[in-house]
Parts: sequence; C-alpha cells; structure tokens
Amino acid sequence: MSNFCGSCGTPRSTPDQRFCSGCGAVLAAAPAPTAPPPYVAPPPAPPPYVAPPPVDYAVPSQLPPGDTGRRAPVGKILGIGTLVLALAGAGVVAWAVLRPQGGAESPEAAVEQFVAAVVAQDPVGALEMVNPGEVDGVDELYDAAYDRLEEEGLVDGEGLSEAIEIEVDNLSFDVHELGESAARVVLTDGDYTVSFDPDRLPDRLAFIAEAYPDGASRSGDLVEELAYDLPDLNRENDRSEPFVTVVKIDGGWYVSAFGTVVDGVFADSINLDFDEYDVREPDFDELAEAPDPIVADEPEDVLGNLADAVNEGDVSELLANLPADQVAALRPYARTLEDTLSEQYIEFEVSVSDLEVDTEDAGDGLLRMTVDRAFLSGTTYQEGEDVDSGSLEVDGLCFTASTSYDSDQECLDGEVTADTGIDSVFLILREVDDGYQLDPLATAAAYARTVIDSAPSSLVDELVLEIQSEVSEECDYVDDGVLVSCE
Amino acid sequence: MPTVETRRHATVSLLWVLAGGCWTVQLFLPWTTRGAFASSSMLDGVRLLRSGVIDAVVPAWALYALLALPAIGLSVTGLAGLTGPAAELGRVVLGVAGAILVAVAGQVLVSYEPSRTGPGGWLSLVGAVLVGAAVLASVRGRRTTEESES
Repeated sequence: MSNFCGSCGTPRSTPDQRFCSGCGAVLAAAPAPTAPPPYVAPPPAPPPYVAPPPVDYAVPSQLPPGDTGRRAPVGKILGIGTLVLALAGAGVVAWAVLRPQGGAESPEAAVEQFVAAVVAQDPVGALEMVNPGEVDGVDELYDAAYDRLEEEGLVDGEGLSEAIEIEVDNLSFDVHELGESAARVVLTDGDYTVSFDPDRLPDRLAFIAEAYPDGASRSGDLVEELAYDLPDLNRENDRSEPFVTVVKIDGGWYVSAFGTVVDGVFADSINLDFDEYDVREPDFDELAEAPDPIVADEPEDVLGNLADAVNEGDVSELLANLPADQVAALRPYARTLEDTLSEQYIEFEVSVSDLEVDTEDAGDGLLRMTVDRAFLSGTTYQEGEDVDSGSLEVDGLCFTASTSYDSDQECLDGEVTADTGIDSVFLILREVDDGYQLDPLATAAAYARTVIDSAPSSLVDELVLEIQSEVSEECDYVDDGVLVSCE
Repeated sequence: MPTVETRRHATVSLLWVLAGGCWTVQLFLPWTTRGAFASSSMLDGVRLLRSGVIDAVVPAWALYALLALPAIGLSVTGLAGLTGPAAELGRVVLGVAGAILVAVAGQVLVSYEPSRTGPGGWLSLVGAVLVGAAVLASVRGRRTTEESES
C-alpha cells in the first residue's frame, strides 16, 4: 500500500487518512504491517458515520464499503463524458469544414438562399450559392466597387446601404428538371417591400432624407415587378415568369449566371421541334462531364487555338479551350448550337497573325497578356448569302476595322484612357495543365476593376446630381454638371 | 446523495460545456442581420475561404480567426470535466481568449449594435457570459474549500 494517492499522487497527510485531499479519491488502507492481519469477516453493519476531516471531499460517502482504491465515479464520468463530447463535436466541425460539398440541397433551396443573401446584402451568402466556376474575380470587383463607393461617400456601414431595407416573403417556385445536373427554377409567387430609413443615409445623400424626412416604402408583387423588365420569350404576350437556372456540382446545387442567360436565349425555342430541324436538344448531362482541356504551350498560342476551334465549327472544342468550371453551364448547348449553325449552312473562318504580346504574372495562376500588335481576320459563309469578311488590326491603343466596303480607324485617346484607366489591350490567361487558356471572366473582371478604380469623381458627381434632380419635387435639372433650379 | 463538492464540480463542468457548446454551434449560424454573414454562417465563410472565392473580400488569415472560436469551444468542452490545477488553468486561459475573440468579432461584424446582431452573435455572447459564470463558480468553490481546510 502506498503513502500517495493512486489517482493524483497527492501524499497522504496522516496514516489514517481515508480520502485524498487533492482529488477526493478514496485512499487505500494505511501501509501494511510486516505480516498481513488475519482475515476478519466484515461487520454485519457499516460503522457509524464519522464526519470526514475538513480536507477530505465527501464524494466517497456514497461509495459502498470496501470500494477502496477507485476514483469517485461522478468525477470520472464527467471527465470522460466531456472528452467524448468534445471529440464528437470536433468530428462534426471537421466534417462540415472539410467535406467537399457546398451549395444547397435542392434547386429551390439554392435560389431561396441566394435571394435571402442578396436581400440581406450578404456577399458571402450570395457567393456561396453561385457556381464557384463563375465567381472567380467577382469578389475583387465587389471589393473595388465597395471601396470606391465608400471613398465617394455613397455607402456607409456593413451593407451596401445601411438605409435601404428589402424584405421578400411568400416565395414559391416551380422546379423544371432539365436533367440530373440542371434545373430551371421559376418564381411563381412572392411579395416584396423596400423601405429606407432617412437617418441612416450617408451625408452625401442627405438631400433624399430632406425630400423624404419620414422615409418611404414600396411593396408589391415580386413576380410582376421582375417580369415587367423581362422579354416576352415565348412571344405569347403574356406575363414572363422570372426564372433562374441552377446546376448541380459535386453534389450541391448552385445558381448559374451563365446557365440562366443561355437558358433564357434557348427558352425561346422550348417548343421548337428539334427533330424537324435536325437539331439536337441541349444535353444537360454534359454539365457533369468536363472534357480534357485544350491548352496552349505558349501564351501567344491561345488565340490561335481558339481560332482553330472556330474554324472547325466545333463548339465543344471551343469550350474545351476555356476554363472547364467556368463554361460548365454552356456545355449542354454545344451540340444544339453546332446543329443550328449546320442547319443554316453557316461556317466561319478566322485567323490571328502578326501577334506581338507582353506577358506578366497576375498571381493566383493567372497571366496578363498585353497585346501590342495583332491582326485578326474573319469570314462568314452562308448558303445563298454573300460572303462577309472583315478584319481588325490592333496597334497599341489604335484599332483599324476593315470590311469589304470600307475601313475605319479609332484610337483610345488620352481622355478615354484617363476616364477608364484602360491604357492597353490585354487578356487574362489561366495556367491549366502546364499550359494556358483564355479566362474570359477574369479578363472581364480585370477591365471592370480598372474602370472602377479609375473613373473620375466628376462622373460620380454627375450621377449624384442626376439622382438629386430626380428626387427633387421641383423641376430642377442638371446642366453641364450643375443642378439648376427652374424656378 | 451527491455531496456539495460533487454538485459544485458538476455545475462548473456543465457551465463550461454549455459555454463551449455555444461557441461551437455559433459556427453554423448567421452572425449578423444585415451585410456579410447575415444569411450565411461562419462555416460558409470558412468553405469559401478554402475555395479561394472570397480572397479579395476576406483576408486569408480570417480562416483561422473564423475557426478559432469553435476550436476554443471544443477545447473547453473537453477540459470541462477534468480536475486539477492544469485543467483549470487551461479552461480559464481558453475562456478568456474566447471572450476576447467574441468582443473583437462583435466590434468588427456588428459594431456592438444589438439590432445588427444575429443568432450566432447572441449565442457567442451567451457563451462568454457562461464562461464568466464558470470562472466565478470555480473561484468561489476554491475559496470555500480553502476556508473549510483552514
């Protein structure tokens, strides 16, 4: 027998101490004498209760006699229980963080969560619900736009505008399955309310608060409001139904901006008899089947590869020249577009020559290719029609466009360059499989960001004055950058 | 019947478990009512950061900041039932660190405005209050023990 506690090692303070002063565990009997005592049968009844010394915990009082040497079960259960709880929690968190699946669990959930994020002005929530391949660089644009608006005193606070509050209720959707990996979600019902709090407007827009000191709100039918601006796609002069195309990627459903636009264009042909025109319908299973990427060994070969694909009339090959996740939503329509062109006997022939470029690393696997000089020519053949051909010569910031009939040259002069910040023609390339592909989205985002950063404050001033003249109940108007009262 | 000391130990452990639970569960809830993290959770932010989609909006180190509070929550939960001075010191240090994180996040995300605070923010605050209660209960229990010993 030991002079120390078997659980925590605290030394025994007196030989007859029964409980550990450190952790409360029952201590074994005092050190044994030289010879073991003869066996004595336990007394028929437990000894009368004796209050333990102050340093001893009373936990063992609930233990049966003879349960010596074991730690108090309550403490042990608590210790093990909380450890198990923490480990289980860590497992759940790790699974949630590391699992590859993002997006929503159903097509309508993706749209609902996207709408909720937009209404709450939550960029994180909105981006979480958009096809990841289509949002590369969008975060930079958002950041640049927000910084610029803040710099101009047009936003204040966390949301894009603290003053504006949007609520949408009673949303209901119809889901049209387009395949296993795509669906069209049609908004069939919903209400909206937009209101603003004049006290939360940024100082620069104080004139709105003066015009509407009590604030204002507007509410109505969301479907009607959205459909008002939509084209009459089925040409039946009825109410257009706002819809969003969603795609399934790695098990999660995402809103697809590209898919929605293309689906909108093709929605016009929903009732088209594809067999009659020998045009194959979109194959939405193509969404999940990315082709092997076609890459250029050198940056300057990227445009040549694209020209080759166009000359082949092979839309799938053209898309294989672009980042696969970015154009995923376009792949289903490739064969339909090919057949449509073929049906109408349309062929293209394009070429790129005299290419002089400079390249620089743009970070994140991107390359900025500045085109100093290039000559692009194209010809369109259609049965029964005249052959159309034209060319575009790029020389720095000067562009010479020529057709069979005339030629015209335009140069981006100093004023345009100063207003837009665009001082060169460039493309953004993405490194893929030890080669390069054109990244259309990153290219567009780079141009947009340049314009956002460079647009002069005078343009913003004009915009604010326009708003001021709209808000004013007087017949004020803007003339040469000045708000003029007509009184 | 459990003794006073057992009950005290269980109560303090329960407070730590609840605090840790609050700080873990907030990962799955929106922190604000408007703007970033109003309809999305910190977990959504972590996923987007890992995918590189919001590099420009949120700095890369934010990934660790977003995961720090649930990590602390899980740690204090694990330590909640353990006895001994080392476990107690660990709980207190982690609890204080978590409370500081909650204070910083409250300033950055909602500027301490109750109307802008979402369920995740409130739950984190409850976790911080529970940590305070657990520390107070521990100190009080220790004093009582010391007094009875003397």
